Amino acid sequence: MRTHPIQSGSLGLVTGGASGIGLGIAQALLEAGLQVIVTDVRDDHLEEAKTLLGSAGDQVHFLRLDVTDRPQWRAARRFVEERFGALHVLCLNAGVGVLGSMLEASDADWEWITSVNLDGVLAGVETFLPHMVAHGRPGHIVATSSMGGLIVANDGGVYSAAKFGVVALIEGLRRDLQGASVGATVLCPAAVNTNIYDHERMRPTIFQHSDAVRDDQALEAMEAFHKQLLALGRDPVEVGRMVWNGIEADAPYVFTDRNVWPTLVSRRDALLAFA
Amino acid sequence: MRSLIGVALDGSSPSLGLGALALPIARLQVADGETNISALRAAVETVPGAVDALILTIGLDKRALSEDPVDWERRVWLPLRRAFGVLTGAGRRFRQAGHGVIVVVAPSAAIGPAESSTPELVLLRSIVGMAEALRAELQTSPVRVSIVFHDGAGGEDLSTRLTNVLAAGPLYSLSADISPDRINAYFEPLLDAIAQTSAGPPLPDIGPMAAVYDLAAAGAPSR
Repeated sequence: MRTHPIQSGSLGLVTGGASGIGLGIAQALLEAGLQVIVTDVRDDHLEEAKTLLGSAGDQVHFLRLDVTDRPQWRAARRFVEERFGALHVLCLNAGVGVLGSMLEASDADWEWITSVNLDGVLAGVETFLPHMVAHGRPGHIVATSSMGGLIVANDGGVYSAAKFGVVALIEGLRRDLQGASVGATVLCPAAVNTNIYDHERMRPTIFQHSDAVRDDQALEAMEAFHKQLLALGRDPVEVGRMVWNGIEADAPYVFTDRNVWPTLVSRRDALLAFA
Repeated sequence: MRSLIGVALDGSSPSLGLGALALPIARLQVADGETNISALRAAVETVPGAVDALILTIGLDKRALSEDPVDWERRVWLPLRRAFGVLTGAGRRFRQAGHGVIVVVAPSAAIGPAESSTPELVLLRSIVGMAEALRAELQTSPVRVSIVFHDGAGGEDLSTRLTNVLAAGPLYSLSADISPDRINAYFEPLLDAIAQTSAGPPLPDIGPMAAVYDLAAAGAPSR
């Protein structure tokens, strides 16, 4: 358990913070009175977020950050230390929701999905945890995993391998940080109204070769299906508030939908059946 | 069962007593630094002769809980890439052949409350997710993927369980240290957190979720 509550006026940083769940988290942190650094790899999303969050004035700051790039992480830490002194809440939310066959996945598919979804979280922890522990004031780390980090589907093997790792990382960190000033929470969202369906379109050039993704027509059909489905999902701002409540409570897990209960029970029961 | 390929992520298979299996085992040596997924797949796909199973073994990590600084590349990324290349190589080979069993032999530390070091926990849990997802992807094929948990002791119990798994292809085979209490201790806080969450908006039926955990599909023993 974290030893003290997060104080109003603390500084938060959110990766993938300019759209979707990340933007919802940023909005919730601002509502709670924190200063927030919104980071994102997409310039277009950063511009949209600047417009949307403009009324927050000096309470919000924007920084381009590719979570797969260690030098950019080090630059982000310098930015925090030189301009603000200390970071208190780190929300490692950036991720790519790319599914597809793991048997067909190329080296590039593996590298891209795991480097953003797992190493992007790890890089944030490695960059900022020593700083957060050293300054000694109450702090918290939130990592965004997924329900796919606890149960699997038949078309998301690379995604689940990374997201299972994120859940494990935070569970290990909570154990390692017992009695420290820094807490840790893992967010496992189900359907949320985000742009996760179009992530395949933002694949960087160096990871361009994909064997997991179907042809353009199939990709468009899949995107349309997910867009329609997720439009019915939870509002990202509501999810952001759930995350803030989880930070305040130093909760180990934050979920976004009670309806996922039977699916996790099915995994528990499968294990119990073999015990 | 005719022959199988044995691959150790960390030189663990001798200590786990896989040699006690009454089966011809072709031990596949993968160069220590090899992390190219295509090359790892090709190494499995081109093993000559008829192969009916692949066993990937991961030993117990006996290092201290804390290590500073952690070499994540060596402790997590390199073995994770190797596991992915080897497992998907086997999946491709067996899918094409129309039969085969893939077995991941992993420490029981992968299940339950965090007791091993954080890097080991990340590696093991990622491999468990990978193996479960591979089983899910291959569920409509004749290929089976199983996870056999061990407590580090190896020996007769593990050999017996492996023999059974190779024959029947269940989702899991648990070591004796994975008790119902331990499973419940891990899942209880997760399920409590879900129970405290409000229901999200209703969604259209998108088909069965988590079908791989269905008890019949998982090959669970009948009670």
